[in-house]
Amino acid sequence: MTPVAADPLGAGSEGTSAPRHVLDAGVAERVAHLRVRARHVVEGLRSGLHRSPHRGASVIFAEHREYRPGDDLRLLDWRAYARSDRHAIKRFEQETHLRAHLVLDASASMAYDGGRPDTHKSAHGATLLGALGMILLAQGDAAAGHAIDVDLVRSVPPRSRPDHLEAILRLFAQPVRPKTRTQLRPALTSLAERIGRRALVVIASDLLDFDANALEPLALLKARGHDVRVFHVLHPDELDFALRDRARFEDPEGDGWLDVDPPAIRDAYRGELAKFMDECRRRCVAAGARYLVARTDQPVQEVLAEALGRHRRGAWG
Amino acid sequence: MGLEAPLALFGLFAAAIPFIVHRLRRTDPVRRTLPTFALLQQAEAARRRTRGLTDLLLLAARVALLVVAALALGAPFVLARVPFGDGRPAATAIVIDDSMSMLRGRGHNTLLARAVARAREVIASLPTGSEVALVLGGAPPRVLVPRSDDLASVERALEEIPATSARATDLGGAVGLALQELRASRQSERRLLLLSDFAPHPALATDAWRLGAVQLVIEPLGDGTPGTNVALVATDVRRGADRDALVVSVELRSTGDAPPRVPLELRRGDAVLAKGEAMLAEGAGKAQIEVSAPPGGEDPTAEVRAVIDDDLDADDALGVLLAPQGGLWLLAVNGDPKPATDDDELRYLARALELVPEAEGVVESRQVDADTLAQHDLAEFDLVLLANVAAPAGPLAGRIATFVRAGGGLVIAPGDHVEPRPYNAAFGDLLPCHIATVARGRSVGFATAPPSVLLPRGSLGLAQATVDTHLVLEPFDDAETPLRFTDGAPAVVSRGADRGRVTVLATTLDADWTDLPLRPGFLPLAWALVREVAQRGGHTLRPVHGGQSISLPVPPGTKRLEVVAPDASRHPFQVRPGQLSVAFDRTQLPGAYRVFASSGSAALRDVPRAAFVVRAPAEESALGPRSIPATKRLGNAGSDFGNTVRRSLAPLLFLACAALALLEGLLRAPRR
Repeated sequence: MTPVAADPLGAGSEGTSAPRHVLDAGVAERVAHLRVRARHVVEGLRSGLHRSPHRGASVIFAEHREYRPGDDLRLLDWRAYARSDRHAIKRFEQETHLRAHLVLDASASMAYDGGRPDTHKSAHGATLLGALGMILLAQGDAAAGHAIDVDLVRSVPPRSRPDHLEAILRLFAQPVRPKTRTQLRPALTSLAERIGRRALVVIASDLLDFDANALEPLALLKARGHDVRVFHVLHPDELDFALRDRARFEDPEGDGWLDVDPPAIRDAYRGELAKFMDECRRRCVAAGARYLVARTDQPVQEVLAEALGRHRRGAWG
Repeated sequence: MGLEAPLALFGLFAAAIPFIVHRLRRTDPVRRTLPTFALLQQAEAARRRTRGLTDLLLLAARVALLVVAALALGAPFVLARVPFGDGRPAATAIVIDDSMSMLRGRGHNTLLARAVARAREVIASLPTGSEVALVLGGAPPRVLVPRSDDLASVERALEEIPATSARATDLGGAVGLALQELRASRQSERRLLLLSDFAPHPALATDAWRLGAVQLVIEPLGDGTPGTNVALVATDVRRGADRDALVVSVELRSTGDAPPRVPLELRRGDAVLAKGEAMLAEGAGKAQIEVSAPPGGEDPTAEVRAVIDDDLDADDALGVLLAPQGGLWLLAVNGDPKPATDDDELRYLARALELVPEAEGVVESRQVDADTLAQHDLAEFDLVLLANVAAPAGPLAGRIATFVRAGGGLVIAPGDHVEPRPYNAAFGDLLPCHIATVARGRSVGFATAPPSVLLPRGSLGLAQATVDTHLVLEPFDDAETPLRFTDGAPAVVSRGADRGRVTVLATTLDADWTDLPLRPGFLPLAWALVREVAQRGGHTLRPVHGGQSISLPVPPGTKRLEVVAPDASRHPFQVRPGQLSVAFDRTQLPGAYRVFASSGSAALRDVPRAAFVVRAPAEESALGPRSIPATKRLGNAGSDFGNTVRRSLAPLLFLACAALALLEGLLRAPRR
């Protein structure tokens, strides 16, 4: 897995700067052992690690059924006959390959690092998705990459070739378009219309779209059988608001500004943030999606380990 | 209001500091983006909803703190009116004139009441640590409350000042007492407040005042005008044509618009005994009221009242004793009458008694010769004086002895008609001594004698008198010898005889045997003999001024004496054996006082002859124009009716600063 060279985040105009550094070798090495398992039964093109909605010849026992004349006698479970004096046929699950869609929020609000480049939100989201893509491709799954802001901006189709990761990473390395607002609803709706069969959809976004219907597409994706995971990417400055000096805060996605004394407003801000995050969590859960907070100062491997470990246990945030 | 340090107000500009700081912080702030800007906006809106008022209050508190601090540094003050002084602790002596003229006014609004109210106001305004003394300026002046820092008790003492008075004025003496009280004070600030109407009686002898560092404050009360006043200034009671009737003569004076006719009533309590009317002309008038004399032994006290509404009620009435006035009724028996000549036996005595000051008493005398003595009722008299009278015959001597034993007085003065043996035989043990013989040919003088009851002034004025002839008296054991000759022989011998008293002189009352009548000491000697001998059994109707002390003679055998004042208050006295008089000084109230006596367990009996009248001096009725001392001559004197003092507001403002600082801290606390 070759990391893509990068320029400083946000330098240059839209689409003109070189892709940023998304997945370095260290991170890749640390996440290499992780595996992604689709929570739901997804359809894949090929048999793989993930359960298929179709039952067929495979090595994983699924259930017994009564023998009917014409069944393959090789499937008779003689032990079950010995125990119950009944003739039963074994049925097996058929495994298939996972198709994953990795969606990165590329709106202007993701272009924030608080003065610490290693905590850049977009980079963190990209690294998160890039690492996930690496894992998926390594286990033979197909992965696609998408960038959204006001709409679905860029996409790379799902492929399972290992070298497809570079295309995904290159996609994620594109700099954020300045002053672009986060509009999740049209973007995710476009995404839902473009991805067809049941797949894993992983979204990395700060969800800073206060439209009441912003996350409505998640239910649409869920309805279409997709397994939706949402990484709520937030910077420590956004989460803790531990700033001390009075400053003029500006809206990165608009022209608004506000002179604020952070200590005076911290408690109120945290209250608003908590309400916002709780609402996001509620909507995700209500839509059938999984929700996990991803702090940008938290190592990607820890986030993924937590996300995939919770998945293994069958629960997300 | 003003400022001690107005330049400190430049500090008010500091009130702009919070605004300036606020503006500076707002200009060129650090700019940064925050993706959760919308949440920040919501938080700011929420914060403003909850903290908007708090921030406003915080700004207000900070601005107010700076403003108040600047004002406090400017040392602002307000001018306050203090009733007296300058608001600092001091020693203050308050002289209240409680003479009769201070009763001018209506009802409870007399000048005296106003003086007391003013004193109360002054005491109440004095700060803690002050000292106050109260002195009353009615005669005699007295200290009501010595200098004290217990202001509450001093204020309560004001209630002890009677609302009525018959006192004369002695502001000079009162100021002297007040200065004495101030002299020993530890306070550096000393003030003397003089509350009086300053009526022109008598003129203040301010030259004797030694104020030193004492600040004199004079507050005249009243308008100082003479006003309209009718005053009863004197009464006289004489026997009428009918021996059972008395004629009460009343003298009036008036000022202002007094009516020409003034009705008069003679009252005893609520009963009107008689009425009369006085005619006023040119400020004066007289009237006579005839009334039945009360039987002997009955209450002789009464009151003459002018039925009039004027500026001073206190002098509209005078106490009167319905008994022949004159003090003493003397029956002088002239054994060698030579009318209109210097050789008359009683010439010098009569002259001496005429010169007795009215204040000391009045003597009404009747002169008779020895031949007509027997025709007189001795009971009408207080004293019988036998001057060069031959020994009376048996019956007459007996009547005289009875008179003496019943309380009368007898003075026996020798002469050529006095022979020792007949006198000894006529009066026997009634005499205080045995009359031995007549000594002639050797001149003697009067030895120095200490004061005694009989001769209160001792031998004052007798040093130069010489005696050529005198009786040789041999005093009995229980007799008194208040005066001797230089050779030791008794000059005066006296002794009580039951309820009366007998005094024998060794030399004559005329110039036959001695030049005593020509010496200054004769007058007091003669008056003392007459007064003291008659005192034992009689009474003196001399007028007493309010506040004066009167010496009440103690009737023989009295163990308990009681004086009843005009307001029916009773003042008892226990009489010691041998005590001849009782000093009574509670003569604040004007009017007639009665005296009761008891010999022990027996009930008190009225002693009409001991009754007396207290009245104010006539000059107390002169209400104006006032005579205020020229204060400029008194050095540190000043006259003000309350001072304007500066009361600093700085302490309050600094307290406000502390409160605002606390408020600012409380408002700021949740921001941390």
